[in-house]
Amino acid sequence: MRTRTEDKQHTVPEFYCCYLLRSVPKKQSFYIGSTPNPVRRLRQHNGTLANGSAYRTKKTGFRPWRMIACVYGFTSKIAALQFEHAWQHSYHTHFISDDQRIVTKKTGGRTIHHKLGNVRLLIKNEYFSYMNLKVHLFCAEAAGAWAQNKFLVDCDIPNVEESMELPTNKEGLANEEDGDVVFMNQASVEKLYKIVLKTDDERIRVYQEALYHGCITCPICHKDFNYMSDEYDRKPLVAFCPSDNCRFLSHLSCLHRIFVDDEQALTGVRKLLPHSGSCPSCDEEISWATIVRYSTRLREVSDPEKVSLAHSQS
Amino acid sequence: MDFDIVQRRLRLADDVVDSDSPMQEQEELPMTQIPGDSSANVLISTQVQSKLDEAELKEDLKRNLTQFAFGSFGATESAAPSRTTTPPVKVTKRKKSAKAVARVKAGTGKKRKKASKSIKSITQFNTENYETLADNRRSRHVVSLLSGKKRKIKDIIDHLQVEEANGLSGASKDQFSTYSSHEWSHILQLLKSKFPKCPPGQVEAVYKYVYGETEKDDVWYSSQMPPFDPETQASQGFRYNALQPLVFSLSQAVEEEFDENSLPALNSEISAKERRKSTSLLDEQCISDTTDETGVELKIDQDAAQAFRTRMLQSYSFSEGEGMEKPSGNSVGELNGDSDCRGFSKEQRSFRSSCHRTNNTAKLPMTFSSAKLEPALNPPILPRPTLRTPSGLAGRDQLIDLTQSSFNAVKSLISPLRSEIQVPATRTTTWNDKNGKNDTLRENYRTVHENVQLRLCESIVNSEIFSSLHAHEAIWRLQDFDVQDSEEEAKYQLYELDFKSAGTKVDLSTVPPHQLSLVKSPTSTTSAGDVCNFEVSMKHNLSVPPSLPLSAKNLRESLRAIGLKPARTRSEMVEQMDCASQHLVGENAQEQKQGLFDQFTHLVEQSPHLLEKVYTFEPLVLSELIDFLVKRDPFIDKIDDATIKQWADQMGICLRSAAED
Repeated sequence: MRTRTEDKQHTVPEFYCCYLLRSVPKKQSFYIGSTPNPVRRLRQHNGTLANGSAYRTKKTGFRPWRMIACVYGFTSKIAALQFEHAWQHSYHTHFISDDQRIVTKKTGGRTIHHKLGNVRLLIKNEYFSYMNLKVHLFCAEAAGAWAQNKFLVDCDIPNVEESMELPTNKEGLANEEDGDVVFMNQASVEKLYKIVLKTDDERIRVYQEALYHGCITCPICHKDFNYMSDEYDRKPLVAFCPSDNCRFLSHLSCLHRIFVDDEQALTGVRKLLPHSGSCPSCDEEISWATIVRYSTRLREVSDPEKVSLAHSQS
Repeated sequence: MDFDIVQRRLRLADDVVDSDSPMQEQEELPMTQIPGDSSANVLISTQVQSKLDEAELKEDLKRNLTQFAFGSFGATESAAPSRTTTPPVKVTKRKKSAKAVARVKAGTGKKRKKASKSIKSITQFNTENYETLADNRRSRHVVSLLSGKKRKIKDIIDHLQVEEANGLSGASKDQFSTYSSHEWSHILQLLKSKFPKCPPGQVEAVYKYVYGETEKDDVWYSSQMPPFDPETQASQGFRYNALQPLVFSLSQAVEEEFDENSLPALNSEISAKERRKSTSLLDEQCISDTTDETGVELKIDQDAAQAFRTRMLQSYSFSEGEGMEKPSGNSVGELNGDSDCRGFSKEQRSFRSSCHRTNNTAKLPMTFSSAKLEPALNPPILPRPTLRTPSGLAGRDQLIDLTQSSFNAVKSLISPLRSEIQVPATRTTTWNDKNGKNDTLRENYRTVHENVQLRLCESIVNSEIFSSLHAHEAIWRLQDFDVQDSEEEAKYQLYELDFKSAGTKVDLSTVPPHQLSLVKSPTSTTSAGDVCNFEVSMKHNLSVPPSLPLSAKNLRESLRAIGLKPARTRSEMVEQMDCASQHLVGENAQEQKQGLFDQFTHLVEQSPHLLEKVYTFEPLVLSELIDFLVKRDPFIDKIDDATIKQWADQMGICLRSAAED
């Protein structure tokens, strides 16, 4: 039997992103990094926080930095680091096939078009395509470059989301002061970060409430599970439909089987991971990564160490 | 055709060299050394003076130009017959012209050379010799372009020029005087007498086959052709009094020996063997002298034609002398009718399968590998199984022991005449295996292994009916079938059946391979024996390299294509291939790889615990994942890590290197 201490259970991180910085004084200088907390990290880059080892962005004449793009939704730190490395080394990463590569030399690809084109290519990659990654662009130039799609990267993937923050953009244009630009940028990054965390937290709370009902029967396999039990075996991973007014709840493994079967019927290929599937209850198309995100976090928060916290909340 | 190219290059090289020395010297020189017997039937009244003149000239030239003593030999041969056939009136004319030429030569020849050696003004020299220089430059350029080896051509030409300069100054004059002209003519006569005659029609067929029929239309080819009609040449070629100089090249000699090796008819009568032996010995004697010459122009076209003719004739005479029993392996079916043909194919198969057996049982004590194999392979009625292998006259000398790993001195061995004797730049030599098959059976396991591979390849390619991958499969399937066989004669039927059943699986036609190739041979009706053999060997050569995993390199590539760990040694890789073919399904490497991926997926699905980790995006430690997979299927141990990574990427499995957080 498996014990909880034996293997630390994996949880999809609340937030993990790869970001693209651009030097405000030197527009042709970019920096690619990854972090679970973009707000703190950006302040480290700009020297507001002294304890971050932002070595590359310390050089005089380059600060302040401005985050112009952010890819978030990674399912693990490892995956985010892989993406970061691939983005930084787009000239030889195996995540981009040679015939599609837009940067072929180590010294090449120093424009915003190249940087964003590589994001498209990487998100398109089969490995990252399972993660339902989202892209957030913070300035008009980045949004324009993204929309222009200069390298005509065929990026017809449904789980890519673009979001623009026009206020930052407008005010940035109106106000040429570096400090203001940086401040606005900091604010919009913080806003994104907070929104993502907040929506997820709210969801988790809703789902936890649903689990308080005690013994629940999975509609797929018709077996019971009980998250209120102290027995570990009775708390398998569960899947909620992330749609707002759908109350679907089942074993994660059951839903997984259904999704994989559906996808196999559709594509003819047996996969271990589905990209997405339609909710058995509301028929809404839901991303598997999103389901897993909540599922693993529910398992985490219902761990005995944190059960007390959950109880206090109720 | 390689043959033509070599000819062209040699000719061009010769042109470059010859353009320095005036052509007339070489052509007219022989006139002075004509033996006196030719003028026996000439009227004295017209001849007295000319005789005197001739004698005088001869003396002069002998004194002045002794260095040409040998160089003139070939030309003498060619000039002599024309002399005998020309009417007396012409003789006087020619004599006069010869006299004139000789005078010119005696007067100016030396002076000019002196003048050219001591150049007073470079510009003057350049303008005077403009054409020669330009010609030289042009031909040099063409030669180097054609050969593609600038440095080599430069070295050759430089060397030739230096040698020529030395020769003209008389430094190497007695270098070639090995035989007198009498000795030479005797040798020539001997040679001719050894070569049997052949009907002109057959020679023509071979000639057309070798040179093609359409080539006359092509400007380039016609410029390279010998000036006379091939048929007349063919008919004249083998009279005892030669109409042209007989020159043998080294490659020809090599070819001659190979011919001996590859001709299957070595279990023939001893007299034939001896005859061949003597001729080849003679050939070698000629070669050692003639190829060293620099002054004499090698008439390669004629040589080649002659060489081919001789070869043809020999084999033809063989088949005539010994009836239908002994022609080459691939033409047996055509010549001997059905019963023989069947016997032959059966015999062939039995030989092959015996190879398999030695392959598979090689790990066991080699009790029946050599000594016991021989009787087992010999069904009483049939010819010996070593039909296509030499019993080793010259082959024994050239046999290179494959067990000695140091054998890689020769990167590529190319005979200009015999195109199947080409060793690709790999470590295994097709040629060598062919020659040493009989002997290598007695060698260690690895050698046998390689042999088996090649053997199979040959047979499959000869049939020419399926793609490389089919052939691939065929090899391994067949090997599998042979495992349980023993060395009893009664099992041969079993072998054959195995072969057939395997054949139906991989679309291997049950028609014996040699029949197939004979059907395709256009000249099979006119000349049965050697041409067919030649044709087959050509095809063989064309189709082997791209289609089959002959070399370690190919093996490694195919292993990599499937996604297996390439092993270090060749035999290990062969084992891997064997293993893979048992485990994997699919037509090509792509499908086999996909099959592997599906297998991985299936294995992961079997474990709910691991599957949960996968679908919750938990990063897995690569080594643990591999351990898991290997525990389920030990074969996966042979699979390359990169393959597993590739599969993981496709499946969206996040991999990490170590367990630390």
